[in-house]
Amino acid sequence: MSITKEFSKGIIKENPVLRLLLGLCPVLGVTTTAMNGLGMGLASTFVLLCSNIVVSLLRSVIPKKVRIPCFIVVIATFVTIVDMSMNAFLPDLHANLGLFIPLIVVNCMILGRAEAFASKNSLPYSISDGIGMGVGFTVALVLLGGMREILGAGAIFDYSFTPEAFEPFAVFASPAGAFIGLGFLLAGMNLLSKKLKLD
Amino acid sequence: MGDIIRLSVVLALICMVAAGSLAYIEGITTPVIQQREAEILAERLGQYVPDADSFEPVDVDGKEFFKALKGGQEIAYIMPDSRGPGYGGDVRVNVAVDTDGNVIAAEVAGHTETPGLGDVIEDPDWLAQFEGKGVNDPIAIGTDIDNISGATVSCRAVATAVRNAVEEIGAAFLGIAMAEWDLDAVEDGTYTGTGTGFGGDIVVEVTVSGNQITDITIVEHSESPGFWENAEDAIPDAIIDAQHYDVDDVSGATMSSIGIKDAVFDAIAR
Repeated sequence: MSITKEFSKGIIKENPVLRLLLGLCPVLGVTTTAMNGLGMGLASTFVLLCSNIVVSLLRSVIPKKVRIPCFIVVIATFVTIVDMSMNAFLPDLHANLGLFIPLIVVNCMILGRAEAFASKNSLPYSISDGIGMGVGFTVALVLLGGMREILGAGAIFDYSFTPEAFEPFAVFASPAGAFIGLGFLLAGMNLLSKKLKLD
Repeated sequence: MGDIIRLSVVLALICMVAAGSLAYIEGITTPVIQQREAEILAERLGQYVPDADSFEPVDVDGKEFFKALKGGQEIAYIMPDSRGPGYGGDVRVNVAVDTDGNVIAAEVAGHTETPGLGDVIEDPDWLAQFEGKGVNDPIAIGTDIDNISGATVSCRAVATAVRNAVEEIGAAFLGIAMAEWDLDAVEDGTYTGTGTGFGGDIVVEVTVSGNQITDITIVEHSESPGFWENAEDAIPDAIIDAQHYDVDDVSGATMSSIGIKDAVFDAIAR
């Protein structure tokens, strides 16, 4: 067990979205553009990192029987902090992500890491795990968001690069496009994991 | 027993720390959020009434209005968030009215209508039609406001919200009585009223005798055959039974039902 290994596993080998299929609600919901994906990814990473730190520090204090309520209180607190801070300082992003920020509370990736990792491991490993998983989540959201923005709006990070004649696929801007796009990403990931012999 | 106490204490402590830190963060962020919202509102108010040099919030009977002031003189009134029932929930419209009771600006502040269909009500060119309308205008889709095909319900919601704002502001600041449903104040006689149905105006004649509605006759309509009859058969009778215009709509003929009810309301109240 090494710190770098705990970090890197979240990005490819145990990528929460593409390998573990965790937290798919925000993945499908907010990825209409790469920017929204990045914002949601970073917000989730912040919450995941903070909750991993607190859960890891309190792991000997929290009684086994009430660990889930304790984890949820910790997670909900950080989500509310993100929600309020984003509303105050990044209002445009907050308007776009809107409903999905409070839903980070029930993102099973975050509760999953608290339960499966942070409550059993010491602080440095938990920090490394939180950042790694968060980066993996963010990468997946930006990939899907970028793919949908390119195909659905002909732009990337709001920068339009396609010629006038390009007619965007409206379906990729709609929720159905999220499922189609995620399907392609998962197929690509499965191909990659076969090549890398991860299974 | 000791176990339960330990569980409760740990959980309560964690919750207390969480609540404390949230209160601290809220103390930092709330002023920033409020200041930004006030700035956005001030900017919007300034667009509605460009001549005004300041705006003053007023509370009348629990409703929030803004007075637009120029050199201490009231030059216009604004009702934020006037509501009309749309297809996906209430449509909220900010309406500015001058001291003569005429609309000088209407802007859709928020709605949950269908993207691509109902959201055409945000179009400033369409909203510009409301400018100049006052308490004596019907402010109704198909009568003095053009409909947008495919968004009839949403357009109607905006018209309802604007009419509501004009009446509210008239009653609150300009001493113009609001149209009210008060049968006891209606003298015997026959009154004509107009409402908007699916195909256009519906005109009714309402006969009142001894403060009771005794008869409702449809004078004119251009509703769809096959649907209209359901409303025509049920709504006037229901209104006479209830002695009130607000009766249940006929399913399949909602627009016609609303049209008849609006026409009866128009005849009695205005």
